[in-house]
Amino acid sequence: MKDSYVFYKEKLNAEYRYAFEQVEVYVTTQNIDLYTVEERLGELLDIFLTSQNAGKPVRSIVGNNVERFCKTFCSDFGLKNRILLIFDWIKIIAWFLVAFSAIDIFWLLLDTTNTDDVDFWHLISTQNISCAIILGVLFFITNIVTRHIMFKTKRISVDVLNAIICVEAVVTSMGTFALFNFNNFTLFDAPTWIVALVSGLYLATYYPLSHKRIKRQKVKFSDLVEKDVTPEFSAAMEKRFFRAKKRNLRRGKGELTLEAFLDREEKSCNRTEKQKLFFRLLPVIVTALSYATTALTSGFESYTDSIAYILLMLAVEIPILWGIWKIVKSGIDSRRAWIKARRNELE
Amino acid sequence: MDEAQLLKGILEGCILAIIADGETYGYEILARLEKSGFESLLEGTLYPVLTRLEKKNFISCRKAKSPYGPIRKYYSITEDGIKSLGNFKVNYEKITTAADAVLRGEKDI
Repeated sequence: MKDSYVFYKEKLNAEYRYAFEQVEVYVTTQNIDLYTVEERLGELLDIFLTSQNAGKPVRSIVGNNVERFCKTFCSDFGLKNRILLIFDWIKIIAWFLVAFSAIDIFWLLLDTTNTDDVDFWHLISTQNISCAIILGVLFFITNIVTRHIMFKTKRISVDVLNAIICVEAVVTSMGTFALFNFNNFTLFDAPTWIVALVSGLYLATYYPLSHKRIKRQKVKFSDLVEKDVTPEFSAAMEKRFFRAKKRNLRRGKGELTLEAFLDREEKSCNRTEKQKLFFRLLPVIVTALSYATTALTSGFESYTDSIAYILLMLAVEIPILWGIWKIVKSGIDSRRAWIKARRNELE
Repeated sequence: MDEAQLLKGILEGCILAIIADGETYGYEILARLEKSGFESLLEGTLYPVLTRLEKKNFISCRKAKSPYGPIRKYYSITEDGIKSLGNFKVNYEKITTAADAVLRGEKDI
């Protein structure tokens, strides 16, 4: 989320940060839906920051026993929160089913170019339902067990915990898929179109309802955590302003004021920020195009080959594009920090 | 007798009374309770109480960005909350008067 509490944790001093991270790990191991976790921890972080600013020790908020504080803090989380978490997890399985149904339909369309005897309405994706159920159960069990084991460990951060959960999700997915593909294991047979329809309907209902639950607030980017402006960066921006001024005069547009330059830079940052969606979609688009090209030209020897190809493409593209976006975002944040500092000076 | 058990019965009413004074937020409620004498007893009990009051529709909340960055919930009392607070004050008065009489009676003995 844009306004996640995670952005503001850095503002806590060491004492408050330690206490907050302990509470954070406890809360995230309670198997509660993400929205409630985000809301509750955000509120607690605000109280911590206010108390820190008032010069009070963290004990004034959490008392002498952090574990007791955590238990009371989470005492009102009930069955409803756990059911909502299960709905969050089913969403992952639904995406899995939609993805495999799409691949099945793609192969079917490929087959229809060779023969006329393929019946769409009776196409059975035997791997989908049973594979997804086993994957869902495995993911559910490993998630709960990992969180409980990790909580007992002395010092673990939420970031490490989430990274471990992600790795487990990937390993269980690959393992489940390999198990089914190499052993032709089936439990439930269902036509592909029914699987795709039901999963699609679930996702179409889940996202609007969860957005309504989350009620995202629009945040001005200038209000986010401030990045430090280094002297070198500041000098580079001053040089940019000087060059823009000279260019304006050369083109006969009159003198460019600092305020006008700051407005222009802010608009440029906003425009660049919107490219985030492009960076997110690019791996999917490139993978889909290259998959289609390969399938139509040389083709894949087996279903496994095609899946491995997709996963390999995504595994290479996503980290590269993520790295590029991080560099771009860092530049945007630095520019915004410089803009804010200069605006404060003008006031 | 455990202090926390005694507190359980009256904390909801006290927090409702603070919110009835005007729109407020988590830290402000904690600070007022602390100033009044509820110190180390609080330890995380504020949030479950606020959630209970919200579920009972005694308070409503709006979200806004706090000066420090995270989203802050501002609480205000509802019509149902005002009625509930009125009932609480009447019951509290009745119980404390009776309890005072009993305890004073024990002292006199």
